[in-house]
Amino acid sequence: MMPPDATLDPARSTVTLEPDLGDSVDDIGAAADRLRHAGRQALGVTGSADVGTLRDALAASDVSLYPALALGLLVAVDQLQSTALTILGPEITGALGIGRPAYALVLVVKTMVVMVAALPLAAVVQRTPRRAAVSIVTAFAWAILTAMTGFVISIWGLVVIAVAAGAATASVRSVHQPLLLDCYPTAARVRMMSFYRGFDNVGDIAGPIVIGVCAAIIGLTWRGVFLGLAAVSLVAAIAASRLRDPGFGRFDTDKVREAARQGIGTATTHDGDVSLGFFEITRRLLLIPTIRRVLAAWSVVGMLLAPFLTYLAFFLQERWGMGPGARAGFMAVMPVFGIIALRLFGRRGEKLFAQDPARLLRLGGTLLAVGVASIAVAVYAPVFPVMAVLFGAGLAVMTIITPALALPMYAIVPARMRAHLGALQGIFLAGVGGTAGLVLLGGIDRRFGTTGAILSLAVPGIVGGLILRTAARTINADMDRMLDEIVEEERIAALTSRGARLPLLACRNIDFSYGQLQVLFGVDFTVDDGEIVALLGTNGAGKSTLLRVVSGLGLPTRGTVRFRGADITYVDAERRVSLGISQIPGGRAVFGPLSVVDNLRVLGHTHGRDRRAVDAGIEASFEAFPRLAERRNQLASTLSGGEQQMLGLSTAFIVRPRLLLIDELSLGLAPKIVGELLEMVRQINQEGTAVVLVEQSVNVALSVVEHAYFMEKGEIRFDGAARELLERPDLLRSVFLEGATKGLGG
Amino acid sequence: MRRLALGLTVAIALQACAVDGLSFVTDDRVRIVQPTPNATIEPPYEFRWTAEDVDGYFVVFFDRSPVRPNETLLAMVPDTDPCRARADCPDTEWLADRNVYVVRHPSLRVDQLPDLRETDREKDRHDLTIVLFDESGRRVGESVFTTEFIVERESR
Repeated sequence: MMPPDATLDPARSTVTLEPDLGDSVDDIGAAADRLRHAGRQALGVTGSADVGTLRDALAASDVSLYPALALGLLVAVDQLQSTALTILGPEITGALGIGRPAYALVLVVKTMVVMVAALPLAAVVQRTPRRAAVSIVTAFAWAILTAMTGFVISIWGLVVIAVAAGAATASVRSVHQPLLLDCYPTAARVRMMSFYRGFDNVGDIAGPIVIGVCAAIIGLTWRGVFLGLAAVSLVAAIAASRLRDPGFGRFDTDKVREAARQGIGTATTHDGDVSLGFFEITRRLLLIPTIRRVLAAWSVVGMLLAPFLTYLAFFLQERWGMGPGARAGFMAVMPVFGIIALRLFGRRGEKLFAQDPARLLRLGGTLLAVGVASIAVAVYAPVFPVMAVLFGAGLAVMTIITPALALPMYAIVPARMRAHLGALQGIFLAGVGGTAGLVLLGGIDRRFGTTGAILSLAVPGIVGGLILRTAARTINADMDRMLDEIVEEERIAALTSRGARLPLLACRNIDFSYGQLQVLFGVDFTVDDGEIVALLGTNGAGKSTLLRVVSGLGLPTRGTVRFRGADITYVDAERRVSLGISQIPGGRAVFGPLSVVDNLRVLGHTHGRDRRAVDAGIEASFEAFPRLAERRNQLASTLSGGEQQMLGLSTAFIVRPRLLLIDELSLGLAPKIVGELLEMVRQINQEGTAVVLVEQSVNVALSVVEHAYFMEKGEIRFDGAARELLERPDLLRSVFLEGATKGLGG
Repeated sequence: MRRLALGLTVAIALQACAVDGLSFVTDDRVRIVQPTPNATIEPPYEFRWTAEDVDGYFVVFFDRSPVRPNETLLAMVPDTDPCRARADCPDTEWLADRNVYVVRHPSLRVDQLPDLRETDREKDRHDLTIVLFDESGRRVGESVFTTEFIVERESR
């Protein structure tokens, strides 16, 4: 029944709402434009360089420094175990009597686990905001595991503890930064991120010092040192135990929603779409152009940083004759430069983000290039102080890159998905980049020596800088995309709350590319419940691609796909089938080596139907297509083209979808067969299934539909009544027109 | 499933841990006096250390990890090594080939050490590890005494 405030568009069955709301479902894009500005403000992009003091920013939102302090303490101690395992390696291998290669393997395994475990931890927090709890629990876990390291008596114990500790410390990568962002208002985030990053450097300095004090001054063995470090970690975990999760997007996406609701004029709260699974979220993130570029840049940074720290030690030893103690001292002093740089950067970074996030990304690119240039010059410094200052400066500017990139990167993804992004960042930085760097630099070192290897790092540094600058070009579009999605969700919620009937399928503003080749451009496509729609167009126009986007076989680079109001843009194809979307692909969509009945049975079981339902579906199929019944035990590969299409069409009887997508039904078939198939399509539609019929043959399609879309070069060129399409000779070229009138009985 | 994995992890970790016989405070009964840390030495290579309250003898390992606590030097010998057929395996020669030396007094003289450099640009860095063995031929406790040194080399 139609809602009282809704009217029916005479051209279609699309719902239009009352005048005061003033928008139809198809007009959402226009409204989004009006709300983007408010959304950007809510995300902290005010366009102004006027940034208040940190104290004022925190006071205005009634938040304290505690969350940043607590997370900072945790990040400062999270690597204590790893640092001790590295420094105390000779003592541990000596005491346990284990070989060095085996011990090195333990360290590598731990590093790998830290990278890989970040993603499952992201999955743990993707639905419920329990990042604080995860941070606290894992902090206690790594404190306990550090203590247990002191009691290990075999390499296997060391492996198990290192793996478990690696999994626990992985929470730092996936959970900390998203939690930190949600704890603070947008006006303070760059400064808080810099503050947090500073603790990381403090940990780098304090770790070796604490180990040195425990071993050299207190006189503890490596076992005693691990107990000491466990005590320090435990203190940090206890200090952080008052940390609480403020919820997803409290200071950003929630504010954007609020702004959207005010703009729409509704108090309705969004009750959520079809929630994305772990892989769906990960895949979605990787489809965002800016994210792809920033992650590529992180890989390059990883390619640079991981081997750099290794080669730096050799460089200091070979060029400056520094022993282990002197090298450790040098390494401990370097992070001090980073802390100073972070202190200087915070407020400036805040201003840049508020003015334009693209500027922050460009700065990140420049810093990366400047950092590696400084290091490259340092390699040839004639005197030690100059070398030390140049290395310090290089590392300092690279320290700033973390907060400089973090905020723009996190600002363009929904708060719920940020843990996944943090995990991906770690994987690209240490996994992809670090591994590639070590492999590449090994060869350079053998040929040109340590100095040459460090110098060669300038190349990935500059490449990474350039990649980041290209990310600056896309970030504003990506931010708008996220804002549009939020606004659209709120608008849909408003429509639903008013009782408006939503289209069964609504694709809006869809862009799709095969690699670098874009084939869909801003496509809007709507199907109402029970409707039968023709999607026509020339060969290569993008019809089949659009079907792939609807069925989930292809994911758009922009735009949304909604099914019964729910956003399914990034939902897996399998889940879409269970939601009620089925596609019959073009060509022979059958399993050739199976018999007809087995094809149908497989189809039924694949879709989770019980035996009784499958048998009923098979009977219905045979009733609709008696020729299939006659060939029930014949191999599908031996069927004619028309019979194979009949078998494909039987999907509708087995699965009973809400929306059936049929690609190229008539291709290569005789008119008589096509007629039979079309009759069956009508019958399927009359039983309540909406149908999208993709055809190159206009006369075939228009003989069964009332509504048609016409595509050309990836764009929708016509959307209207089927008969009106015949009045558009500019669209329908002669090849299509032939027989069209006859097909309509005209 | 998660609980099972957690339980297994804890069980394995606890199996691989112990409380008794572990050293938490530095053992300073042995002090290496020559070479000093990171000193450069020339052949013949002289090594000296002081020892207090030590029963048994010293086993010196160059550039390799020692055997595990409570193990004998036989643990170093692979099962397929012909040395295992002999009653005195591993003997002094077999051990010296692997840069391991058994001494009763706190000093050692070695004529040759392998060149560990991969390129001429590097220094030939080595490490020395001394562990204690009792009269039954087993390593005593976890104590290790180590130092690093550099061997003077000419360009190859």
